[in-house]
Amino acid sequence: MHLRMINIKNVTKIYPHSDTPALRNVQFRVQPGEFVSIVGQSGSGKTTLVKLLIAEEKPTKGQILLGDWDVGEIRASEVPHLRRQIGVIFQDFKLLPQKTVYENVAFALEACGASNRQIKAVVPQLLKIVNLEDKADRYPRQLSGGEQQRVVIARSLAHRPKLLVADEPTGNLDALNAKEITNLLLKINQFGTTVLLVTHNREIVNSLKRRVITLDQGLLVNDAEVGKYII
Amino acid sequence: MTKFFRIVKFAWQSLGRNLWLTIMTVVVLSVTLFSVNVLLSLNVVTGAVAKSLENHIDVSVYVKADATDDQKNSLRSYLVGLPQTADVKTVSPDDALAAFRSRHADDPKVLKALDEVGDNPLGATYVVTARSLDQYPAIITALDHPAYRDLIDRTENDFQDYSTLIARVQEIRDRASGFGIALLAIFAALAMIIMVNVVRVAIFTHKDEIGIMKLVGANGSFIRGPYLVESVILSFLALIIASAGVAAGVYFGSPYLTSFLGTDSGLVAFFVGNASLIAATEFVSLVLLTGIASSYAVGRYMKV
Repeated sequence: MHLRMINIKNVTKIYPHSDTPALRNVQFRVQPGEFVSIVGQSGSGKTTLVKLLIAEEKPTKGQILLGDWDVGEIRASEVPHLRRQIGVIFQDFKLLPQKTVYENVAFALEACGASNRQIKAVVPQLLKIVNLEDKADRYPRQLSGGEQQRVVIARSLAHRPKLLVADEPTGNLDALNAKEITNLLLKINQFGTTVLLVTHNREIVNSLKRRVITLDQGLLVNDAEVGKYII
Repeated sequence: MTKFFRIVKFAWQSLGRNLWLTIMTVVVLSVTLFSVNVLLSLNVVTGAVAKSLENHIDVSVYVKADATDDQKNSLRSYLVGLPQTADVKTVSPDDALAAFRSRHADDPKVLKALDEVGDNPLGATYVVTARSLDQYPAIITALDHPAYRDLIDRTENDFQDYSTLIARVQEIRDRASGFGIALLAIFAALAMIIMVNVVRVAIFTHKDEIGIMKLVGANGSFIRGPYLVESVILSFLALIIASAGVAAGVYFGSPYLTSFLGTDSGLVAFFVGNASLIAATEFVSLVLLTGIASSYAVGRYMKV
């Protein structure tokens, strides 16, 4: 199965022991190759949307279709296969602390059974893309925040995903590193990868001049092809 | 096969890169295993002491001095032929007299009385050893045979003393054995609880990593595998260390124990004779325990 279009159809998510829906009847589509920013203040439902996309949560109502995958109906055994087709970048990096930069990137390939030859060929290329080829044997604790995030980007590209979801990738970074990461995402998008950038960084969103979907208290309040951060 | 080798590689990497956690886990597992072996040793020693006590029990049959050789031989044959008898030793009248003089060396009145008697008043003695402790009552009963009871120079109290003594020794042995087994069972259960929780704590420190691996697309077996391999490696290391401790303890401690108890403690023979079985049982038990604990703990943190 392969990811093509992303179709969010009337999705509502209510967490257990909560009366307030985290998402309410959200509906939008993303075409292959698009760069979409999903913005909103804290508690607007951005992170919930990311969790739904990577099947960490299932929608209470509605459908999330990632190509042929229906996230609401996916079996537990299929989740790893889905996640290998989606590159995910988190605000808190989520690197394996006891593995080097090289090993962190390689892990994504090892997990899906890639051969050692393939790994030895691909990982150095990925590290070169993110400009970390000379830090391959460092551990995450020996890297700056910006460098750690670049490792995460390299890892997320290991499977050549059709979709890259970045959840507040610049949240823990200074302005310079944030700009660098954003440029990297744009570069990845130029190669045909669909990018969903979830952020509340107004400057970045406004500088991108790309499609912007705005969430507010779980509702989709705006969807502009060339948008701005309006909340 | 590649997946298996990767899993083993990850396990070794994890153990090596979390060295202090590895050392602490191995230490706790080793100490727990060692303490179970100490309790096992106590059981062995208790059994050896009880057995030694049994071996010192025998029935001495004092034959009257005026019994003829034919009568004495007949009695001896009768005693040897009893199904409960393991061995019959003969103490001649002269040896019996010498032993009597030796026992009463500090009692001049007895020795003087003996001298006044002149001739050796003692007859032969047959020292009967039973096949097991609970067979002495049958031997004592058998001595009350019409053909032989008049040949035996005995008083009523001798047999009652023997019966009482035998019953007491049996009671001590049975209680010690039961207590030892109960204590071993309790300690083994405690050891299991300790080991399971040590592993759970170790896995807890990897909680975040497990979640990350799942998010990156690793499946259940690829995440669980290294921790299961770690369980095997940790169990093996703990077994080696505990075994070395037990071997050293038995080797150096056994002579002192033998000297203290006055009899062979039985430890060396027990451990040498059962080394493979003990090691295999402990290793398999440890692997199962730590493996199950590890698998359960990882499963909890894989719900991402």
